[in-house]
Amino acid sequence: MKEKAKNKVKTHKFVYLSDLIVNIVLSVIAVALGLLCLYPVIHTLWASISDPVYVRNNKGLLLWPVDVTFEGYKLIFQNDGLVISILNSIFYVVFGVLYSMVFTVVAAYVLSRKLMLNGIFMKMIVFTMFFSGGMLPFYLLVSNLGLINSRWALILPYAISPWNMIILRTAFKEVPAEIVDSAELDGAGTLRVMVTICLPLIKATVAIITLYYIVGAWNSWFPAMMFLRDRDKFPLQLIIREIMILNDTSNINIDNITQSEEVLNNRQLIKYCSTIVAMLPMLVIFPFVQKHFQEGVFVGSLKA
Amino acid sequence: MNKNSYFARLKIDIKRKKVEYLLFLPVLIYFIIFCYVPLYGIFMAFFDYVPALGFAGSEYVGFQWFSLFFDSIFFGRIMYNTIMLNVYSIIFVFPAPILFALLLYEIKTKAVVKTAQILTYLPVFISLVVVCGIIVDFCKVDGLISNIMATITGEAAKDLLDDANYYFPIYLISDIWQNMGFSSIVFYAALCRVDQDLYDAAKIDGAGRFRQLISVTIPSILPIITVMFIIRMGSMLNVGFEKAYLLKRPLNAERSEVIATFVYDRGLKGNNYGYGTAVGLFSAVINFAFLWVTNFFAKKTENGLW
Repeated sequence: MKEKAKNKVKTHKFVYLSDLIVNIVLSVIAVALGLLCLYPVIHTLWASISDPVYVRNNKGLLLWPVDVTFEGYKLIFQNDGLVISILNSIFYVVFGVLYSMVFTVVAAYVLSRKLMLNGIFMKMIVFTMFFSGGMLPFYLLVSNLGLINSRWALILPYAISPWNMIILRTAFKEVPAEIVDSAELDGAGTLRVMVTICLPLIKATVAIITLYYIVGAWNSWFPAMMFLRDRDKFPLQLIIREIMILNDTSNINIDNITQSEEVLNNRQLIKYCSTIVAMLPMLVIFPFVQKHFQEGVFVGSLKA
Repeated sequence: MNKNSYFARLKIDIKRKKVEYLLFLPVLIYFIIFCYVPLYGIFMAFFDYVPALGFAGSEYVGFQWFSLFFDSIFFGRIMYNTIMLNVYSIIFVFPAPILFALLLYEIKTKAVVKTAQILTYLPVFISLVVVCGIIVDFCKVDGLISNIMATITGEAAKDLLDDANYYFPIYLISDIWQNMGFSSIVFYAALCRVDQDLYDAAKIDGAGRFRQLISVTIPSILPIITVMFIIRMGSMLNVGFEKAYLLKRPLNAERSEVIATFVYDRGLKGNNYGYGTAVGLFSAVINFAFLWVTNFFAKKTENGLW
């Protein structure tokens, strides 16, 4: 695979020396910017496995982990509060993404067919991208539906992101009409055509949209803060907010007041390690998604 | 009934494609419940709304909430912060992905372009909570950026987020850091479609590298820049609520309090739904005005959005 990719890269011939120099200078700038983007993640990663005392006293760059220790990750998995929040996050991602995908695929498929009302449906959906009632009416709606402090409040209101739906609809439209027509002539029902014929043909786009939804669901924290009251329903991101931003670890049973060396160390390790855990799924998914960006985002923006 | 009338044809269409229409029904219901029903809540801006009583039981107060907001001591501060943050954002954050795309486009070594792209796309995947957590970590008294700043200014290191003067730079630079790479995709893709013959023609005319950039590259992507600019102008009074809320502290409230955080604090936390909605509605109207005006001028250059 890698060999192939390398062969594909066209080599550029530089006619003038000045062109070569400009190219080198620009390349250095671009890679430096890239490393600047990466550094905060690396810093946190090294801080999570380095000796906490060293990290605390070190005020400069952290280019390499020092006195590697995995104590922090042990602490996380021994901490009920954090483990429950991680499981909660997984629950929200699994059910949220399943729900979103069913709705989005159905909406995108139907809107890609030639239905008389599709023009109106489409306008209706695009309208919601620009106008909304705002935060308070939305909160009251969820509250009237009896979803406050319910796990479903983080799932039910978030079925379709119009942007993702439009990208998927564009992909469905590109399935040749003859394939769909002949399948229908053979007596395949609408659902069957959608699931067994069209979906496999656009599986790359479906994968990307799924990943978008996963990223969104895993990273979401504000609806949880707005709608949930019980701590045992909180997703990981909300707990991270407490320990990283509000600097409050008392709720996960880590002493907040004592300033003894050991407590201080544990608190610091937990901070960095839980941040890494919160980033981990995205860091794992990232290599798969980034390849498809170029096409996915572009197709959507062009044909919307 | 006329066989060719709209409704007659619609009836046939629904009959023939009833499975499709049936499948779409839940989607339709979803949008009506979660996107259209809340629109009705905008009327709360004109009521002293008490959720338990509904509109029928709540008192109609006309424009009271609006005048209360305009007269409040917070009005000046909130409007200044919201508008200035957006003005700075348009000056500094908006051009960043365009410049980055141009930089990538000028690099002829594809491996370098790929590497830079992958690295700069990464931050957009990190949740805002974690991003703000890292900002807090880097800006705390013994944090990395605080100490770099202390070395530059020669003063003792301090928590930068506790100083209102540092709030705008922190907000904007972290914005560039997180979104520059990802936002550059659209511009880079547009650049890749520029007709290469134009460059050959320019070279024959004696245009150097810089001249080609000014006369060929930039004009070619101007339409997409204009579209993005109009969209950006349409959210002139929006400051991403989540980030503002995460970075807000009493000590930097002087600069960090914006319309969205005010709506949340007053409306939801303070249980004053009428007031909160009125402020939100006010900003939505101004936003639309900005969008409309920008589009009006863009249309004169034939790049309008509608």
